[in-house]
Amino acid sequence: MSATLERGFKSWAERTATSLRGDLGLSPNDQLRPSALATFLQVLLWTPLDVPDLPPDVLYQLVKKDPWGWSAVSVLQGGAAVVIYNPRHSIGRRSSDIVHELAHLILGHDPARLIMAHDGSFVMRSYDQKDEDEANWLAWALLLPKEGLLACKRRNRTVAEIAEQFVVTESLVNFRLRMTGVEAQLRAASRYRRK
Amino acid sequence: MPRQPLESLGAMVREKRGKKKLRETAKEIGIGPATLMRVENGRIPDVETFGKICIWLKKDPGSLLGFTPDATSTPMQGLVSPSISAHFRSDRTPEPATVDALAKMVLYTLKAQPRSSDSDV
Repeated sequence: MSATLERGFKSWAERTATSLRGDLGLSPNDQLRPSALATFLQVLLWTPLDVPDLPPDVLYQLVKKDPWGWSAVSVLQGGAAVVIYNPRHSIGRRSSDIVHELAHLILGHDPARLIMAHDGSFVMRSYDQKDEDEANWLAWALLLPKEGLLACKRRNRTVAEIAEQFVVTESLVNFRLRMTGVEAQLRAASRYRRK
Repeated sequence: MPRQPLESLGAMVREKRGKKKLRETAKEIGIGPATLMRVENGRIPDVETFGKICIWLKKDPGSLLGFTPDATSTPMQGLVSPSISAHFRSDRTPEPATVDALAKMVLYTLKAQPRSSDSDV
């Protein structure tokens, strides 16, 4: 999934995440609350229910009819930003959705281009896989720092316990354990001790 | 210029592909086979994919979006709304109704004055 990432980006993201978490006063073992990061970045967090005058049919489509078809949207206007997240997702998934949007803002990614049809209806948007991959990597490093993962595994915490501690999904824990090299590092250490 | 509804994009792609393999056609267009399959099933592609499909179909993108062709612009120019700035996290080819609802939500958010941050996630 990270085939588009440039060499060095992952290390940069891990370092940036560590530094940002430090600015928020978090240790590697602490949960990152998306609302704390949003406040730090001066970004508002809304759900569709908070959008003034949103027509009921729009609300119905996003919250009732197709709640699994979208995760979050960030809207930028004159330097101000609002992240609107899907309240129907689990708390772990919501964390990932919101921090992904905040990562786009941290990374200064260009917003998507929206195309409207002649009749005024919206039809499609641009999509940049590289931007999405970068935002994912930075968001996941912010939510689950490598150092914190390593500490948990050294204390023999299960995947479920780690997910609960950091308030993320178990699939994200498994992914980070593989991708950060924590599992491989611990396996190598265990082999060394047995010798 | 009569507009061919965007919803007919999938049918047009399926018709042109004929009996040719999905993977082979996707490679020819320059997109992934899963994306091609979703477009054929009526999902709306992102702009880049749409552009590639239009080139492959030899169709003017404007004809599918209801724009009058402009001889001085390239196919995808002039179709972009410059006033909307947003990042989306969703399926790459979401349901058309969801895409439309998301865009409307963005427009209503832009119209609103951001108030206090009271969310706690």
